[in-house]
Amino acid sequence: MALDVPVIGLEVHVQLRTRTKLFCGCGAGFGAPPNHLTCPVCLGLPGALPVLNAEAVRLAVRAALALHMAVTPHSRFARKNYFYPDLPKGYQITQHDRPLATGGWLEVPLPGGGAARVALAQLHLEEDSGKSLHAAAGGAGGSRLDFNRAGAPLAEIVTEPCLGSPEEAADFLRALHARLTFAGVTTGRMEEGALRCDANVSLRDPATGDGTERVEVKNLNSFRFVERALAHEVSRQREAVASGAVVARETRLFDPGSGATAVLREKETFEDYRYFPDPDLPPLVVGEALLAQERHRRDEAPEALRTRFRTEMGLPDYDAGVLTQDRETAAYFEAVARRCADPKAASNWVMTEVLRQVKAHGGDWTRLRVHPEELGALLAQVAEGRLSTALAKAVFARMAESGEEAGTAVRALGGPVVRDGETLSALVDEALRAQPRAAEDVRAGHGRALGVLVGEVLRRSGGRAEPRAARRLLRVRLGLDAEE
Amino acid sequence: MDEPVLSVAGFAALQRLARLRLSAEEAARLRPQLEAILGYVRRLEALDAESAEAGEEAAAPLRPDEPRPGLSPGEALAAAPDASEGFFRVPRVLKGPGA
Repeated sequence: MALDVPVIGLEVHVQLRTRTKLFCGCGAGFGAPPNHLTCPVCLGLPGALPVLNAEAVRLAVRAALALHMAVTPHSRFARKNYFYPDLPKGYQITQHDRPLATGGWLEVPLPGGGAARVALAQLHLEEDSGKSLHAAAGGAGGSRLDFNRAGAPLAEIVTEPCLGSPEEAADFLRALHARLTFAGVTTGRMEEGALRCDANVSLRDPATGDGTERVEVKNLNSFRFVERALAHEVSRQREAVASGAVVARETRLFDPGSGATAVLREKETFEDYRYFPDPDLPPLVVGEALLAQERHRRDEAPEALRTRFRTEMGLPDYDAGVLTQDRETAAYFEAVARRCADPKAASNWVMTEVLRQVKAHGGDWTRLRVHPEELGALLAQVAEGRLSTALAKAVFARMAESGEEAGTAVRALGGPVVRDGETLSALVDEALRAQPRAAEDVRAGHGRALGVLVGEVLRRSGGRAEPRAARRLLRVRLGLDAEE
Repeated sequence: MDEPVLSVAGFAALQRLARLRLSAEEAARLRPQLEAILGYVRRLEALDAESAEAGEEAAAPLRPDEPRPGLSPGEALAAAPDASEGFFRVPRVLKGPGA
C-alpha cells in the first residue's frame, strides 16, 4: 500500500433562516439591491455595538440537537482578524475555543441500502462576509462590494476527517441539507448560498498511518461541485505522490468552468488570525428552557407530528396525513401556520397550491421560491379581509414563478387593491343589482346572505376588491351598521 | 517571565499582519509602547485568578429577530472613498484570505 486512501473533512456554512442578521436588525434576506441592508453595526462603523439575535441562537441549537451534538452551556465569541475588502471591521466575529456545540453525528443513507454515521467535530455561530464582485481580468474599475450579506447568521458545521471518497462527501452534504431544511434551520436554497462548503483533503497510507499535507478546497457550493472538485483534487494528489512530488499545505479554489482546482494561497498558520475573545460580547449562555423546547421539537417522529397536527392544531386526520407525508411538507406547513395563525387555512393552501408548485418542480422543495413566512403573511392578509382568496392565489403563483415579493406581485397583477372610492362603489351597486334576492335577505335580517354579495363584488373586481371594505360598504348600502 | 515580551521577529510579523509599513523612527517609538501594553497584560496573567471568588459571568443579551431600519444606500455609501452604481468600490482584488 502507499499514500492512496483519501481522507476528507468538510466545513459547511449554513445560513440560518432568520429575518435579521446575527448582530443587528438589518434584514438577512436574499435579493435586495446592493447595499440596501446595512447599518453602522454590519458596516463596522466606529462606536457600533453588536447585539446577538435570539432566533439565530435558537436555530443553531436546533441544528446541534438534530445532529446529536453536545451543546456548550457557556460558549463565547472571538474575533478572527484578517484584512479583506468584504470584511468591513477587519475581523470576523466567530467562535473559536468555545464553540456552541461539539461532537455528534449524522446518519447518511448508503446507495446500497443501510446507513453510515459521519462523525462531527463541532458547530459554531459566525457572521457572513459581504460579497465582492471582481472586475473582469484586465478590466478597469476595481472590485465592487455589496454588504447586504455582511453579518448574516451562519452556523459552521465541521466534520471529523472521516469521509473516504468524494461520493461519500456529496452524500453527506445531501443528507445534511435534508436534515437541516426539515428542521427549519435554513431555507436550504442552494442557489442563494444557503449551504456552502469547504473541504480538507489529504491522502493516507493505511499501513503506516502516514499522510500527505492537508489541502483546503474552497468554493464548493453545489452537491455536484463537491463531488467533481474532490475527485479532481484526489487524483491531483495521487499524481503528485506517484511522481515523487510533495503535496504542499495550501488553499485551492475550485473553478466550476474547468472542473479543476488552482492554488489560492498558502495556508495561514493559526496564529496569523490572532483570535481573541470579543470584548463587545459576553459569553453566550444557552439556558435549560431553550434546550428543553428544542429537544421536545426534535423528538417528533412523523406519527407524533400527525397526532399533534390533529390535536393541537385541530386539523382533520386526512389533512394531518397529507402534511406529514414527508418532512419538507410538514416543516413548510408548520411555518405557514405559525405565521398566519390559522392552521386549517394553511393546510388547505399547502395541500393544493404549494404541493402543486413543488410537484411542478419534480418534488424539489429547494426550488419553491416562496418562503413559508411569506405565504403565512399572505394568508394573514386574506384572513383580515385585506386580500381576496382569488387574488392571493394569483399572487402566490406569481411569486412562485418569479421569486418576487408579495407587494411586487400584487402590483404586477393589476395595480393596488380596490378598497374605497368610486370603483368600489360602482362594484357594490352592480353586485346589489345582480343579486337582488340576496340583498332582500340581508335587509330581512339574514346576515349570512351578505357573503353572496361580497363574493359577487370580488368576482366583478377580478379579485382585486378588498373583501373587508366591500363588506363594510355593502352593509352601509343595506342600512346596517358598517361594523358587525 | 524574563524573555522579551515582543521579539524583533514578532514585531515584524505584527506589522505585516496589520498591513503597516513603519519607518525606523516610528518603529523605535511604537515598539516600546506596544511592549508596555503587553507587559501589563503579562502582569495580569501572573495574578492567581483560580483562587479568586468567581463573579457571576454576565450572559450576552439577546435581541428579538425583528427587522429595524438601517442606513439608506446613500447614507451607507456617503463615507466611502469610492462608490459607483450602489456599490462600494475598492482597488481590484483577486486573491486574498477569505473566511
